[in-house]
Amino acid sequence: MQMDSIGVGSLPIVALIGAFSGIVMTLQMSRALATYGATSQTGQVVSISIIRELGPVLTALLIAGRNASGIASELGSMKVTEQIDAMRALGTDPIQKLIVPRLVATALMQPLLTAIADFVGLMGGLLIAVTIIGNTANQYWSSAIDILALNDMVQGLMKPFVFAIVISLVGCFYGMRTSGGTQGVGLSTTKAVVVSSVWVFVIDVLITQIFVSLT
Amino acid sequence: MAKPILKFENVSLSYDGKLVLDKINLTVNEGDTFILLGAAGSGKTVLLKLAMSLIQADTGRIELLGHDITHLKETELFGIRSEVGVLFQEGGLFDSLNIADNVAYPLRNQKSLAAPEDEIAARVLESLEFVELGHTLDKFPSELSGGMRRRVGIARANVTNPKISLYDSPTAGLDPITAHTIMSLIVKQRELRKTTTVLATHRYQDGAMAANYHWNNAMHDVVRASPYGTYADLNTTFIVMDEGRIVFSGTQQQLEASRDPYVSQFVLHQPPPKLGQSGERGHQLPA
Ligand SMILES: Nc1ncnc2c1ncn2[C@@H]1O[C@H](COP(=O)(O)OP(=O)(O)OP(=O)(O)O)[C@@H](O)[C@H]1O
Ligand SMILES: [Mg+2]
Repeated sequence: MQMDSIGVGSLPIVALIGAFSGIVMTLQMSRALATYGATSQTGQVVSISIIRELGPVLTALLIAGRNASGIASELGSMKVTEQIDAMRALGTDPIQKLIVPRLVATALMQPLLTAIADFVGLMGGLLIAVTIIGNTANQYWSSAIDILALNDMVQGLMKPFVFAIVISLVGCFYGMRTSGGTQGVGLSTTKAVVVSSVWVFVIDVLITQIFVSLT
Repeated sequence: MAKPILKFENVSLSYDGKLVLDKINLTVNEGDTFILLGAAGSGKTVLLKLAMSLIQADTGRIELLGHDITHLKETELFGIRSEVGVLFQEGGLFDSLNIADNVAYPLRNQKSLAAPEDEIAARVLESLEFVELGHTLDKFPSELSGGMRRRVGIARANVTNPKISLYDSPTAGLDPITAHTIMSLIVKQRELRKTTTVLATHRYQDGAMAANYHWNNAMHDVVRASPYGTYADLNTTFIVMDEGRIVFSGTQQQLEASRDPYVSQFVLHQPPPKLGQSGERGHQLPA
């Protein structure tokens, strides 16, 4: 159920953002590449920036907006209506019942959604590369795929995995420490989105730094 | 010899440097009814949560059902909590579960109460019929009125046949008729199942009802246990809390005689204690 709401619910918007970022990236790059006479390299530039950065980060920001807020408000309203107390009073551990499933669902779904965003982004890039820049589809794809090293794939999947853990934990943290009625729920929700988004950028820098120093 | 079932010794708790409970001492004996009166913010909810260790005291010692629960781990508490019924002030019903699953929740999740599903179903139905909501099994909490949700909460609290039930402000925010229904269900539970009862409320008449009324199964309502104008007492202790301190502890008679301004204001602010036709409803048994 958690996976449904995170995965299927986010799919359309993730695909949309993926497509647009691919399109815009390619449009922007086409000019720069043209000045060096390197338009045949379009695929490379697009695929590296999407797989390493844009896909993971944009998807994470989206999930921070959709799911950190969703988790915080759901757990927050359970907290203020004493449902969390009731769980503990009636023999269950809210960490097991509420936090673990959300953490697992996000950690599984987010890499998948990121992969989808990456793919749709590359398709968006293809559209522009073929219609505006004048690449052939083959040219675009082979340059896009050839450039990718194992390093990029690992980075591209590890980022969403770590982001997912941070986003869901931040959501749970602010949800569980909600107090002060419905007003408190609103406050926790806002905090969860802001804090998890900031963490996404901070962690992105850290992971990128690690991978850069590895190569 | 009365057996203590819940005991606070010098329990204090503060939040953000503000003392919300100040050296609380109290003892609830088996079979007793314990009425916790106090204005908003006086610490009733906090006290009830401490009683089942949902929050931790800063200092002092709390004993529940013969166990020192002050420093127990959550896993060690589950077994003890399974013998305690609790109705939360904010309801605490699970929005995502229907009424039957809400009431079945403690039976399904307390390891010490594990039972086969058909037995659970029977007990859930019995408990809901006890509060006259046997027809709501498939409904969700959001589909019920506030008073009905309280009754479901009572059914869930008592489905496990607890030794002691804690009710946090069960009549708050309800009209007088529904409040009467809720209180009579609490009295019914106390009498038919011999449940030790701790009741936090800001309504003096809730305590007066617990202290003076029996459940009468034939009449299907509460009846006075002694003539109007006398105190039936019914093992009922009142305490009055003011900003985290216990400012009064005693019987209803002592409470009404108190000259303490806070205490007496508390009692007298309720409908006048003209006996015989007060705000208390119920039937008088022919002598
Ligand atoms: N989690 C918390 N954080 C900070 N302060 C708290 C917390 N819980 C309770 N308090 C404070 O403790 C005091 C006692 O609160 P409590 O909820 O026990 O009052 P109450 O007697 O139940 O009131 P009411 O009749 O309104 O339910 C209040 O001043 C409240 O602000
Ligand atoms: Mg309260």
